[in-house]
Amino acid sequence: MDKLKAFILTLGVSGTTLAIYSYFILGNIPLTALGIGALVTSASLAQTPRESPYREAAIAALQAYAVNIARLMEELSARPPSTYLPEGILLVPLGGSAKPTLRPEPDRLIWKDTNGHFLVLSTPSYGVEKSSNLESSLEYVLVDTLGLCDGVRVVERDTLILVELEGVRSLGEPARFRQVLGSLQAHVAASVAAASLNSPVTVEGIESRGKSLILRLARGEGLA
Amino acid sequence: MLKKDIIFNSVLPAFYSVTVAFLASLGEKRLDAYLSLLTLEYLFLYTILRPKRRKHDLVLIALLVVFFIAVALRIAEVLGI
Repeated sequence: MDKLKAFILTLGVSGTTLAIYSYFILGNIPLTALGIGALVTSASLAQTPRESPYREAAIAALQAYAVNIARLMEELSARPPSTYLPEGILLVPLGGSAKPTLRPEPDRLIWKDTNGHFLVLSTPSYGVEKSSNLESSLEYVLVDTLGLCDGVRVVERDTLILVELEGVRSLGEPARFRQVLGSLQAHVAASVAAASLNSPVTVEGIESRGKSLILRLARGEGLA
Repeated sequence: MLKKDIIFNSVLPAFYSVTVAFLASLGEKRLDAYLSLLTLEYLFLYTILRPKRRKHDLVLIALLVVFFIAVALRIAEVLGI
């Protein structure tokens, strides 16, 4: 039994014993309430999940995904900035830094429009609904589901969106992935933002401040 | 555990300790008064911090049930039922 479980059990048993003894034997109400408080605290601790094994598996899958994407981008000389579309598509410029003008045809890996060639990748939707609240969606995916950071704050001003990710943990992404798409947290955040806002999103800049990451996202117009 | 879960599970017993000490110093002898405040504090912290739970928050449900029973008994006592 690990230390936390032992502590929870000890607290629960102590609280129950104190509450019962204080109420029935001593007739002391404050001590009874204290025992009940200890019992409630131990129940709360018992109900709080620690690290879910599914979360670790999801992060391992994301890390493998980052390695594969980095190899593809290295091979094709991909460059930033990338454009995230709300339907879960990522367009990465190849050999240039232009923004796409046309929506890619389905199932294409390389897409050519008037502004150049783009690598077409699929990004997971994470179950985010279109036109939902951006901060709630980011918190749901990045904090609650994947545990990639401890907190999210969003500030929107016209087409500029500032996203602050607090308590970001390093996931060891390949250098090419970081260069083109930023960290995995930035990549997931941009993908969720595009889906939540129901409009294309471009990552304009990423700034690291201690354990926080500040993303500058630009909201674009829909592609033809 | 997430940071907010750690904060919740640390602040909750601190609130409880202060509340029990305060009510005891006032000479409060009714158990339902203590339970009502413990329930309200749990609900207040839960609403502010939204700690992660495995499924439903059974502690909150149990506290609310006890709270409503205590309130119903008090009302019955006042009405002489």
